[in-house]
Amino acid sequence: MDDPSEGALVQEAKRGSVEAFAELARRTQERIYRVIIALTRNSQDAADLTQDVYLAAFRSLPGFREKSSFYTWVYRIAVNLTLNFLKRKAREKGREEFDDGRISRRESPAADIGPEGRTARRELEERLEEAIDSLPLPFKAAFRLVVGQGLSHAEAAGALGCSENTVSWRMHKARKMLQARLGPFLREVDHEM
Amino acid sequence: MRCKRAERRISDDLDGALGARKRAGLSRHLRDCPRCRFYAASQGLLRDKARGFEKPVPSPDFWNAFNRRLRAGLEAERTQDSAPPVPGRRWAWAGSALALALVVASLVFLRNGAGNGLAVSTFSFEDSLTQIYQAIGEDDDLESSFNQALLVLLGEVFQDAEEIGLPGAEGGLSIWEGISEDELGWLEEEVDDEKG
Repeated sequence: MDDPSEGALVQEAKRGSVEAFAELARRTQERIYRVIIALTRNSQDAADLTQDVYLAAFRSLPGFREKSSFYTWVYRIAVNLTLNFLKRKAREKGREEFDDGRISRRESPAADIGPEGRTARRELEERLEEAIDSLPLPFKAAFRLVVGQGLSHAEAAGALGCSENTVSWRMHKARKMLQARLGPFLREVDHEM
Repeated sequence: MRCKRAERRISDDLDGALGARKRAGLSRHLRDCPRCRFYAASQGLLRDKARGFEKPVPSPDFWNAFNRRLRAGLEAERTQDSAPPVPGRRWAWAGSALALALVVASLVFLRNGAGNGLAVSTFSFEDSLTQIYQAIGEDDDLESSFNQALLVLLGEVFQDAEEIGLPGAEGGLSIWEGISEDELGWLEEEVDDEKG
């Protein structure tokens, strides 16, 4: 038996078929999950949000005019919901914004960094994920999508609902912030090479 | 080429977004600038390491359980009393959007800097806009109506959007999605840099 086309499934789902929508979800959920976990870095949050995305998509399905693929449409919902979730989470945790001023007073890498530089590399890797996670949300989202997911600026702009130039500028600023924060470790790694 | 511009081009190049002509200009700069060479090498290293941070996709068992939960949720949604949008509801959304735009516009104001042109403080209304655009979905007519109404209101507040150099103002639609005051300040810096 041939697999039903996406268009046929969308039409069935719009008529209220849970089976049809569940099939649409099955076809796209792994990619949607990957995007969400790239932004959240937490498996449980990603699982819960993925479910929320498809429930939101099911509710909004009457408004889907099929000018894009179902995946593209759900992708946009996923990014929006995830960014809203992260903003709420940050407010609840009282997370401090990334502060260049504090970074300039950060101490130099520990004195036990060996001349061979392997400790510097390891420390850089450990601190990199923390540094990315500390970026302000618009910059973190752009960085995760472009670097983590391999999206082009145009694709990330579509997902984030901003212009390509804004994505380019946010990537540039994210990199400047990472350079400021990780500079001492990068110089140590550079000395090794 | 100044280093500040080179850093921007290094970022675009790392993302595959730099054209050949600009890449040639960047290469010439890098030949003579050790500071930017270090920056380019550092950012390449960070990019390569960040790519390796991807979490593994869950197992089939995870997806089986996920799909069972999702079906239960979908069934619950279907049995709830959720009437599909009717044409009248679309216009109710448009009215709500206009009301929101009035509130937003009343929170947007201009400050005159000390002879340094206009500094703009904006209220970041990304959350509200996101929800509105989600509700609008792919209804082009409704989206167009909302955007036009918002633009008219913003134009009235700013008096002349082109005067303060908002990109896209000359084209008619200029919606700043989630641009904070800090980001606007940095953007003004970039614009000044480009002019300089």
